[in-house]
Amino acid sequence: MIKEEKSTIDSLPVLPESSVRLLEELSNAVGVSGNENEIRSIIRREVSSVADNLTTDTIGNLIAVKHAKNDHALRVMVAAHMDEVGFMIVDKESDGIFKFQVVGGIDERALAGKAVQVGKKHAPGVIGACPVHLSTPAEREVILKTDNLRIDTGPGSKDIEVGDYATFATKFKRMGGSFCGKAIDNRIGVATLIELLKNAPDSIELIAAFTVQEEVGLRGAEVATYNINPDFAFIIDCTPANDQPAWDHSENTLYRTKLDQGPAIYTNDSRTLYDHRLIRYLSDLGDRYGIRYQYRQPASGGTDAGAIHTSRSGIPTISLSVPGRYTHTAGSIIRKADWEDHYRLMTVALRHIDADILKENR
Amino acid sequence: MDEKTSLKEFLKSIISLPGISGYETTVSSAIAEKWRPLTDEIIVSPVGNLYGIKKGSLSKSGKPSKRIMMAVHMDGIGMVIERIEKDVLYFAPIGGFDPRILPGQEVIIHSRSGDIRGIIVQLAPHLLSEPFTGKPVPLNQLVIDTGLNAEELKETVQAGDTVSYANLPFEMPSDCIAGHSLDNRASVAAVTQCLTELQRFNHAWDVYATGTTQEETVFLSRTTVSDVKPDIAIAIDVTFAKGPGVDNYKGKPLESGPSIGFGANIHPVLFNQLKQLCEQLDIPYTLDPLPQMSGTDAHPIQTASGGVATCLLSIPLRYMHTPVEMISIKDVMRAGHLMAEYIARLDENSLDSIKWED
Repeated sequence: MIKEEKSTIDSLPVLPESSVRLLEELSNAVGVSGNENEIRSIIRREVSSVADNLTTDTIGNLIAVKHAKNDHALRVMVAAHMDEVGFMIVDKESDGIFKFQVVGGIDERALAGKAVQVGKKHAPGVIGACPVHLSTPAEREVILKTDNLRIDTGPGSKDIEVGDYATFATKFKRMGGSFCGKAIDNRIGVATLIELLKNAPDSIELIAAFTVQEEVGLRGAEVATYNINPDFAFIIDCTPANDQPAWDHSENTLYRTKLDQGPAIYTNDSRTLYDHRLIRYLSDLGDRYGIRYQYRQPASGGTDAGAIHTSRSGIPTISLSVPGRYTHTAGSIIRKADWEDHYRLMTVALRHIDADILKENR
Repeated sequence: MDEKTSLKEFLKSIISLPGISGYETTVSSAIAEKWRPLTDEIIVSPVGNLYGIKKGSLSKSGKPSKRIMMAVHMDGIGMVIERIEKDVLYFAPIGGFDPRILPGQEVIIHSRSGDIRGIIVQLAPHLLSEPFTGKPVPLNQLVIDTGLNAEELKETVQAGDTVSYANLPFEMPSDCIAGHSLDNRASVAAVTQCLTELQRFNHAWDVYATGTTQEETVFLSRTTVSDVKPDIAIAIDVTFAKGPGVDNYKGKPLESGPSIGFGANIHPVLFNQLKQLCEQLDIPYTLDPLPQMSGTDAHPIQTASGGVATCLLSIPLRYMHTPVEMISIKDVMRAGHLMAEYIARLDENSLDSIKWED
């Protein structure tokens, strides 16, 4: 199935340092589900000179196409969602004090006491909390609910309106061999897809779908896939690991993925039983090139694949994700080495993809 | 740079430095550098209290000195590493805070091999002693993730290393500043403003700008009284500002000026003098009723070394003991200005007025 003489890891392109700087810019930018404008504009700047065709569809997905050298080439869609979880200002209570609601899935236990950025101008704000001196121990046993918290942009703040979006203000950081940022889920996928597009093999029609609204129900991917109608779909994302040691020192048998073990191939989740031909295709390539990979443990959760694989007559679909910790909080963590292997495996996957994969029955 | 901008920059710089209770040296050195040109002498006591001494005209002319101490605690709350479990760190608090504000906080671990970045996180339910569904995860089960793997972590961090908040301060509209440790570095800035203004005044009394230590834990300020032997002490701290989470009498509006304490912890004559001076100079202020003790350095100072006439000024602050505390620099400057004007009015006979009405 795999046709190439040279198949060592050393022969593969390395993720350039510029990708890390791009990830930093993307992670610091604000693109809450439904308002991905900032992200779209960064991507457009990065890919406009390499894409043969660049369009934004009606829901806001940015679709970049790189043509194949030959006619009748396979049409391969690679999807990465641009949006992140965040907040929307829903009511002005008093001077600089606003009620807000969460967009996407955020554990409200991680909201209080954080710096946030609000609106188009990224105005500084905070989500405060009652001073510990004024609460009772019993009160501190109760969750600080979103409804009881406020975003405070300070007295006299202007230009903030109901409907403005906000995110945590965490700045991207390098921490040892790791990166920490507020929106690594899924700007890591966006940064990877930009690099894949820049180095696209000319054997396929590569359709890069930067999707919107994944965090609120895979809605961008549904629209994009119908319009693109690809032969194959790859979804690149960041997936929770939950691989830390347990409090009671018992074996952690319920991890989803493990950091430092390479990119994670999805097998099944809440919405998708991934195409086993593509699972095998990726793992064979990993073995052949000596690229680390792991299987994401079957469990709930999901990716844009849930909407993509059921589009039209059905699309052979696979997800390959970078393992991450603390996604959907003020700061998630990934390992650079996992990302590098993710990029390598995606690179060879696009290079070798072949219609013969589908000759085997699903 | 005007005085306000310069004070803002100084305050932002000292809330960007670590200074956990019991480990104040980094921040106290920065404060000492700021105070050095504003005072005649800088002394650091064996337990870390900082004294910036500005001599008054009485002692300069050889008369017995009268001394006023402005006591401001330099320390802040923080954490200490308790144990290392593979690639995560468990920690314990230094000072009091609500664990519910911790998940997602960026921190710095002060290790022997240098500062290490990390983030406080809440682990998945299956990794905790119980799932804590719908409940806050208790402090003893929150962890710090540094992004280092188990081997790297073992070589770097040790139990006992201290942990500070890492988030940097930022300015907000209307001269507000948000960040961690504004309790009590905002008051350090107020004392600095006072010293700056005193450069323009003649004052009779010796002024002891005093940075105290371990207020958040065991109140080492009691030892300053033995060092300074003050005739009058003003403690400067922060108080609750009205806003989300505080809507009763305990909260003073942000930008309403210093709050002047009164009650058993405060000498009533000093309280009245400060209040009258605010009226006279048209300085905005609020009253801070303290039916019990103040919970500030005023408490140990009042009874130390035979007793000191003590008063308390407080700067309104939102979200106390979170890393996103918020103050108005206007209130900081007003507190500093009030103290400078008060000190400038003290003369050889001022102590005579500080007596009990019977």
